[in-house]
Amino acid sequence: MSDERHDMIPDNADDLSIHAPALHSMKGKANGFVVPENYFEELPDLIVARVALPEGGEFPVSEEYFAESEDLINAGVVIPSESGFSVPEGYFENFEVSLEARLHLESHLRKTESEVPEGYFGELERELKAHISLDNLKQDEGFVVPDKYFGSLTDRILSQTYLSDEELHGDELPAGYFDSLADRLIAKVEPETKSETKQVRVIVFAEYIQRYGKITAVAASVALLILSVWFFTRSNEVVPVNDFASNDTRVQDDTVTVNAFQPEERIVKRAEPQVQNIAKNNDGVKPSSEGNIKLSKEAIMAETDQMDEALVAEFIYEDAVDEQDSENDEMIQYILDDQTSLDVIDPGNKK
Amino acid sequence: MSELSDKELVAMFREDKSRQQAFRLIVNRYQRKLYWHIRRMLVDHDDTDDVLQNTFIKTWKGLDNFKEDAQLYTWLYRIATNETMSFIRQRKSELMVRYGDLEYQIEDKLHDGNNFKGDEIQKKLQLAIQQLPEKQRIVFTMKYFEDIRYEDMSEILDTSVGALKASYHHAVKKIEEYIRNTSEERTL
Repeated sequence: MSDERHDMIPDNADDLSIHAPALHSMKGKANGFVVPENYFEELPDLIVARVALPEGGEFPVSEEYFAESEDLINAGVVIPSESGFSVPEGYFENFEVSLEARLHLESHLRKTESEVPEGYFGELERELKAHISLDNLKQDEGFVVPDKYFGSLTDRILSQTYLSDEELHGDELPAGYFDSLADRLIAKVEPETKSETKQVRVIVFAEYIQRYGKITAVAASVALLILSVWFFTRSNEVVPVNDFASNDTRVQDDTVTVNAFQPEERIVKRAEPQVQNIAKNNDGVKPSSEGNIKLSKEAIMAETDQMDEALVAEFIYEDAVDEQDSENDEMIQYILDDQTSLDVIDPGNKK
Repeated sequence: MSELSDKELVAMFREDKSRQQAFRLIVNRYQRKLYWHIRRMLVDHDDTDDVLQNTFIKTWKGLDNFKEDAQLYTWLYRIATNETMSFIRQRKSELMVRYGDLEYQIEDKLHDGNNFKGDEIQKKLQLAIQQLPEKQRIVFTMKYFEDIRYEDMSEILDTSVGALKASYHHAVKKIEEYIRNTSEERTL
């Protein structure tokens, strides 16, 4: 400001009415600045609170506080320490005793430590590890659970246990609901059945027996009789040649058949007349208890002077013809009448 | 009880038992004057509040060393002015990097209804003050708004009375011209 030419300032420079009429007209009026409400009323307390704080921001402590604290100390009252922490009453007085008791206890524990069974701690460690592993397994067994599975589980279960209105309000069913249920179901099903398939007649077996029982019994008896006749007449039939392909030729009841594929042996059953003749000329050949005789091909050939085994059957045939008085005359006659039975033996060499 | 003089308040402050009480009385007595002294320079209330609190804190710290032959209020104004100037310089250094000219920022605050609710004439006056150089602005506000004597102002600003008068005179002419010009522009 020293450089300003203040020597040229007029004496009445402060008279604004002369040099600055506009400024003069505004002088003393409100300046238009906004100040928060109660700012000046609260500022002194704020300033005092700030200046009362010592360096470092610690809270101020009045002289009365220290005087009161001294009185409390003299009265034996434990007051908060400077750090703000409190100490239990009698802590320092009993500290020595507590420390001795603690040391004694730890010494005792060290002595008794050797009394633990051998391997106890090793076993304990394994048990703990196993326990920890099991705990971990319980928490996460390695299974993967879909995201948000448990979150939606309740809803899904509830949706599956949905109860119908009737189930929820069973006591509110219409009167006679179950009595008419069958009729209503049939009424619903019947049209569909007619339209899709032929009408099916339901036959109740008990009613059928009651109505047609006598007729059925007569029919069953007749059928049984016919079957019996057929069965007995059927046993006298000669089995076709091809049916003997791999079976032994045998005598069925009174029928004599010969296996054409086992020439070494001939089995004759119940053909005792012929067999007896053969047995008379062949020592050692005796019929069994059932009358069966096994005759070798050589024996039969020797008896019949037939060199061809295919003619052995003829021997039997011829022998049977000669012995008309045998017990099986009728049967042999049947064989003679039915020439096809000989074809079984050797159709090509039939005479 | 008659109102205590500044000297009596300083004496009370130096007594430990009456220190806070004396300080509270000093704050109550000068808070408004110092607030407006700072506010007219900074315009923004929050900035003014920060500077004012710092002013009183420095007062608390330095009042023990205050010379009894000096006037308390000039000493307080000196602290407040120095704090204000320090704040402006600090803010200028920050704004130069971030926002630019501080004067534009202050003008924006004058247009902000939360800070200023004066009429057009009052706003024009404040805008004219913001156009003044820093030292003229201080002298003008202290003389025009606060009627501080040049002698006291000389003590506060450590400047001669003649220099203050000249500074104030030049400030008045600039502001009058600014108001006249802006009024003519509007009438045209």
